[in-house]
Amino acid sequence: MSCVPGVGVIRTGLAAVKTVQFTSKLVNKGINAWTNKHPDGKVANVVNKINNSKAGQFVERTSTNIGNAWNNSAIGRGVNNIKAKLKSTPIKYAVNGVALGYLTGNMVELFTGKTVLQNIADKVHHEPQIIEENTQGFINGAKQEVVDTPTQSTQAFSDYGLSSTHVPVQPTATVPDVPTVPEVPTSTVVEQAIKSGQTVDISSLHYGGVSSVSNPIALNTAAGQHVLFDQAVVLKNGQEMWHMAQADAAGNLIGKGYAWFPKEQVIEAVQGLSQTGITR
Amino acid sequence: MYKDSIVTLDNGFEMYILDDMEFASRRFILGSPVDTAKDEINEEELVLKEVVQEDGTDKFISIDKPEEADSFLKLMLMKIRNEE
Repeated sequence: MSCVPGVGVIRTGLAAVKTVQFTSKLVNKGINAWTNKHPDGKVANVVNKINNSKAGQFVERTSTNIGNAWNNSAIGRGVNNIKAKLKSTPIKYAVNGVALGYLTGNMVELFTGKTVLQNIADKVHHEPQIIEENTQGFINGAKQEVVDTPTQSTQAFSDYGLSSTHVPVQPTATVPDVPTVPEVPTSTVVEQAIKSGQTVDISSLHYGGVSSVSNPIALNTAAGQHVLFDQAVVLKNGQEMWHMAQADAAGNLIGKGYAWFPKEQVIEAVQGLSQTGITR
Repeated sequence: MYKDSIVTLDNGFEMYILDDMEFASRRFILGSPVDTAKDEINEEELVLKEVVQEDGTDKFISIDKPEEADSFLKLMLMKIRNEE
């Protein structure tokens, strides 16, 4: 699955996990993390050695492929302990307060300074400002005030029963040829799968990638629950991206942040959930 | 790739690299201090560094912006949790 996460508002979600301030300590969770102000002193350290010499004792191992020598070494045992600690529940709750997609979106913004729409455009066309947008929510219960991107045009989501007028943000002179998206009765599917004001569980959307990350990483975790799909953007290649907003415990929509998914992925996931009777 | 390697810096500091990751054209590592001579590791510390190249050599530098460091630590920890 491919996804470009939302940015900006997710910082409100990150506030919920600010208990893990990097510069503070995770001492109560058994971990102290630091990046500077450490006795190593130097701002920049030349890597002059990668110690692969200890008979493979310390390298090329995973938690599922650990040799005896590794287990017999204090470092090997310690690494195993650290990895186990990082997978522990306290760390999970401290770090995984929001879905990874939200966090990744925040990182995209921090590092690139781009908006989510720019990132979507970059992902597909490698040039910004060539997308049309829908910002009108297609779920009646969605709070539209959460959608506040200055560059967005207001457009109803006609495929889903609301009025619609396409307002392109910018004319496009070069539209790459892309495979035609098959005609599917998406409106019917969505109407059946997502009810007005209904929240859904899309935790089946386990994996995704972000364009600016070289290695695809897991995007959505079990934290992808109780979400609303409240807007969509249509890329010039016809790919429609749906925006999910996730409420926090206090009921604040996108209190936990938001992310973007390809429409087809959402439909597939929600259909499956609906068929299994666990759609909320 | 430094993942699951032990790296020695020019100041003698050694660390086991738990994971490395590229993000937005930047590269980061997360490790724990070790002492290979004594076969010791500090299980209570995580070290986050950005990897940059200078004169063809990798250097580990500190991340000055706390917000970046905070976010990237979480991202790295979540990546490790999902991988392992």
